[in-house]
Amino acid sequence: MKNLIILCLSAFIALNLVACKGSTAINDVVVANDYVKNTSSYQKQGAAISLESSQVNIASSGVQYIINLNLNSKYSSGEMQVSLNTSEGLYIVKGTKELTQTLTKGNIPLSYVVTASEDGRYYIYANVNIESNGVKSFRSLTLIVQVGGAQTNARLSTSSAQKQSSKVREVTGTETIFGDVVPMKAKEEVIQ
Amino acid sequence: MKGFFCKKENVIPLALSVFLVACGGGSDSSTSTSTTSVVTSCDLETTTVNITGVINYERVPFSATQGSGLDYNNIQTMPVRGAVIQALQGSCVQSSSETSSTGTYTLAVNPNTDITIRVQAKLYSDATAKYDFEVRDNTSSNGLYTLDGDSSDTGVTDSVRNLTATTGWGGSSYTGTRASAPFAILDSIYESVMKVIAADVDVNMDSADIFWSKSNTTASGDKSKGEIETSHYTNDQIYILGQENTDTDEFDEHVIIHEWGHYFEDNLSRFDSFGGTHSTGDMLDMRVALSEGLGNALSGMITDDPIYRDSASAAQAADFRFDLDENTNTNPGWFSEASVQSILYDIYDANADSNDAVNLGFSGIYNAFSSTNYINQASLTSLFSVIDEIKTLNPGLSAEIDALVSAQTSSSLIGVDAVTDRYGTGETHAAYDTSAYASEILPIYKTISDDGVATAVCSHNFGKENNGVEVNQFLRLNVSSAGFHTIQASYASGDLATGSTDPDIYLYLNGVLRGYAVTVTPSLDKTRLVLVEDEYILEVLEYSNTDGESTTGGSVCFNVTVTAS
Repeated sequence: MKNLIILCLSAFIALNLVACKGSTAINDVVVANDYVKNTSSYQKQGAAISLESSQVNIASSGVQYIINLNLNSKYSSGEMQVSLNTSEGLYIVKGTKELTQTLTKGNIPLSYVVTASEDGRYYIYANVNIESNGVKSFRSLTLIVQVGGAQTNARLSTSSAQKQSSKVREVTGTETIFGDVVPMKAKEEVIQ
Repeated sequence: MKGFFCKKENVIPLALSVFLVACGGGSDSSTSTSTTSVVTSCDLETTTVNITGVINYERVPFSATQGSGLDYNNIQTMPVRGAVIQALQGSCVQSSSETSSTGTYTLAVNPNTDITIRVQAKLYSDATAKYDFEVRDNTSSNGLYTLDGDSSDTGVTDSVRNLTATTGWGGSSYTGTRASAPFAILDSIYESVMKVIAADVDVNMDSADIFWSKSNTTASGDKSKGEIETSHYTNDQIYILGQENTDTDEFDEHVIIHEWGHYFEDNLSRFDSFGGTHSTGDMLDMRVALSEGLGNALSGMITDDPIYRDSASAAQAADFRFDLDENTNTNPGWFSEASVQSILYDIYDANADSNDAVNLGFSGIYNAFSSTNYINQASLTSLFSVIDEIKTLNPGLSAEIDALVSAQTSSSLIGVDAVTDRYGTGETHAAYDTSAYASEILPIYKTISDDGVATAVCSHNFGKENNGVEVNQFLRLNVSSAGFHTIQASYASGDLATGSTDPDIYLYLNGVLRGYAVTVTPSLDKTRLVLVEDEYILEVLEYSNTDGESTTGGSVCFNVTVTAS
């Protein structure tokens, strides 16, 4: 009898878990960290639009979450076209993937409901075309979506000591190898 | 280089160097090391046979229609120039050389031996001109890209092996290995290096790595996962985007050379810029404007193509573009990267367009940026300082250069005057069409003495946070007697209330940071330093105007004093 009760309880819990996994409940998303804007790298030119956050962490796969893709615009007039895509395994359940919007200076919130097939690291890609005051520009933006396992943004910075070290690297007859080579097969023509 | 690995005296040092690298003893600090390829050498016999051939890569050109991105229907076969090439017997290097300017090579190898031809994505020379550039995969332990042929018997007579790095394009997307990408990048670097060598035959360039991966995206995070934010330069490393359908740059020569331009400035010239984001029409800190404009101008000079194009979007079928030879720019002036690139490109090119009667070629540009006077200038780098150097080196062209520079003007506030000196003395264009701020942005350098008398400077962020022209203010400090000096910036007035401001001070001598005061003490920062009799530059700013937060910062003025004490 005791075994039967344990079996029934186990089956009940398992059924509930399956039900929860398949539910369409929408949970609030947790914004992992702020986008680092005050970058010191020297980068190519692009439209003056950025993401407020670079990454969101969500707890579970198979559950739908609201993600606010907040764009920060420096343009006070004009129009932007946004085209959204995701990496494999992350799905946009609700929200417009292709949109045209009038530009305003400041925060432009875009809300999406997403779900992931399994835990892992995913991406939402946003190709943003801008036309403001007759000037066209473009910027590709990518939001990291970390599902399960709270990985933080591991943005690296280089210290002045590292800089000094790299400055003294001399051209010598030896080769510095960081890891195995990445061999790629050639299309080859052999004439004997 | 040929036969380097086959000389016995090279075997022990080479093996030792590989061991040191594996143990973290390498001199490059940029990345951690992991497993390494064990490279050994093997002796050549008395009688050898030659393997010759041509190494090519496939380049996807831009569409003839501007705005339509890359043209996969017109893929071109181009030579791999100057790359290190090896004949491998298993893991043993039997001989090594470099491909020629037409992609040809010759390697002497043992007869009747199974040999693989390997091309490294690497430019290397320890001859008169010295350089070492390598294209690596930041998502695969920073490994060096190589292009490998099949292992086959060398026979007893000379033979030909031609290798081609293909695009991997499958008709509507990439379906195969994108082997040509690292070699397309390497070729843009090759062009850049050869342009410099043509102007300076015994140039000695610091080694640098270029990191590309098909996974390199605009995510900002872990670079080993491809999250590089965008194509960029930092500390002798260039990162290039590669994620298809979003933004790829391996075939965007102007983008690659723009980033290499930062390497150029960092290693062969003077590099005062602190970078940051930048867009068309931005009014930038003069150091940033010069650096970004120089990178763009170099991309036109090195390719001899003034149309800068940057492909992106689904199937790479769109491009952002501008004409470096266009002299009508949005918000032109000494704070504009577009003005910088227009002026520098016109000084370089032979096309005599509007206000352009100057044609100094690449040597004219290179000689100015690499001159001792320019590198050791007390002033900070700017359009003023490089134009002053170009005029100094070419005194007969002063009037023509003045006309070219001053044409970058659209109003009494937006533009630039003819350059009188490295400091922009007499400049009348204050960037923002806001008269209240004009008197604060100009003069570009205020003056201050070490007598304790206060000079007022103001920092704003109404235009562009962090690297806008209005954020950082500069003072020329002539130290009259060596010894201890106290430098102080204290709140004077502004939109920000006293107690909520955070002044920061940086002190430079010939561009080298000699001291700073960046504490979080409200409304006051000061430092005490030993100074020599010389001219220093002080940079003063409000920290909250540089923190990237749109909810902080504002207009604030400080009293700056320097006191010998």
